[in-house]
Amino acid sequence: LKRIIAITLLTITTSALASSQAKRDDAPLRNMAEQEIRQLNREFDEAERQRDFAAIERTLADDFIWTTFGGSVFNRAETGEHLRSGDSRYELYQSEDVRVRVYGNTAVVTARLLRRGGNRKRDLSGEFRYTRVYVNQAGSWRMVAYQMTRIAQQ
Amino acid sequence: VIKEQQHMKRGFILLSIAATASLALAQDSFAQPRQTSKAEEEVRQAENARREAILQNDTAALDRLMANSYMATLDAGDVKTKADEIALDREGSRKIESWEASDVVIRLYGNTAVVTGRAAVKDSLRDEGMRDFTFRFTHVWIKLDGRWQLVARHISGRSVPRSRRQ
Repeated sequence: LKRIIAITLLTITTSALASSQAKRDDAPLRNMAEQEIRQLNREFDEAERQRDFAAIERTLADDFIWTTFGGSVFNRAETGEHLRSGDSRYELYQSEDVRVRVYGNTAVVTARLLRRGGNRKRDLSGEFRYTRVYVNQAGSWRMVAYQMTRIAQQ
Repeated sequence: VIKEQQHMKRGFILLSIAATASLALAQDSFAQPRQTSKAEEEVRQAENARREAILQNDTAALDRLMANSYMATLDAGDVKTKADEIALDREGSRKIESWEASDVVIRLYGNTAVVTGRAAVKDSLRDEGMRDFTFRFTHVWIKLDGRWQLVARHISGRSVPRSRRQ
């Protein structure tokens, strides 16, 4: 009986220690993931500015969903088609005030987007706020959702 | 004594292996289709609980449903934290009469759920009267400490509110 009690106590103590250790050990992993996401997010903005559609599509997950500031919804294929068929050109496409929250295999990025440019029909410049959701799939971060909102002019 | 210590050590190792194996199995099974539909049902329930909490202006329920790191981006580009939203609800300056979602899609990625859809809302503001409008939303739920918690909400494409008094 003594042995069983001793083993049980030891297991509980070790589990508690392991759990607190795991929480502490999470921090470097989360930091590493956050740096990867920040880099990927910058590359995504750059790909938008350079009209690098292949790079954009590489970032998007198969079941990606994009909700525009006007309320239109596009899946991955429609997003690719929409980008390729348009003639929008941006001289500035830059995220600021970027906040990354990592939860295991998921990262939620919120930021302000400064955009300058447009297409033949209209000026698409403005300031926006977005939420991008990245999920780590088979070792690579992919964007699964993206929603934008235009910041109202004061 | 040495023998007893060796026994204890062996017992402890076996217990640790068993615990680790059962944890690993539990994590794996979450990704199975059977578990995924269970998770989807849980997320659907969390969405319904949030809707009910909004309609009842139940700030305690909203507090439980939102993660501490919750962040919302609203239709004018304003950003709200959990504390901001709960404080607004406590003020009681807005009464939501109905909040109906349509075109709802739930995507599950292990302990993460991304819910997208369209909401039709009828509410009344103390200063502006009654309104009737729609918008598109993205909700991000994460299973933290064994329960689904809302970590992000984003809305856009809001239709111009119509005052039903006019």
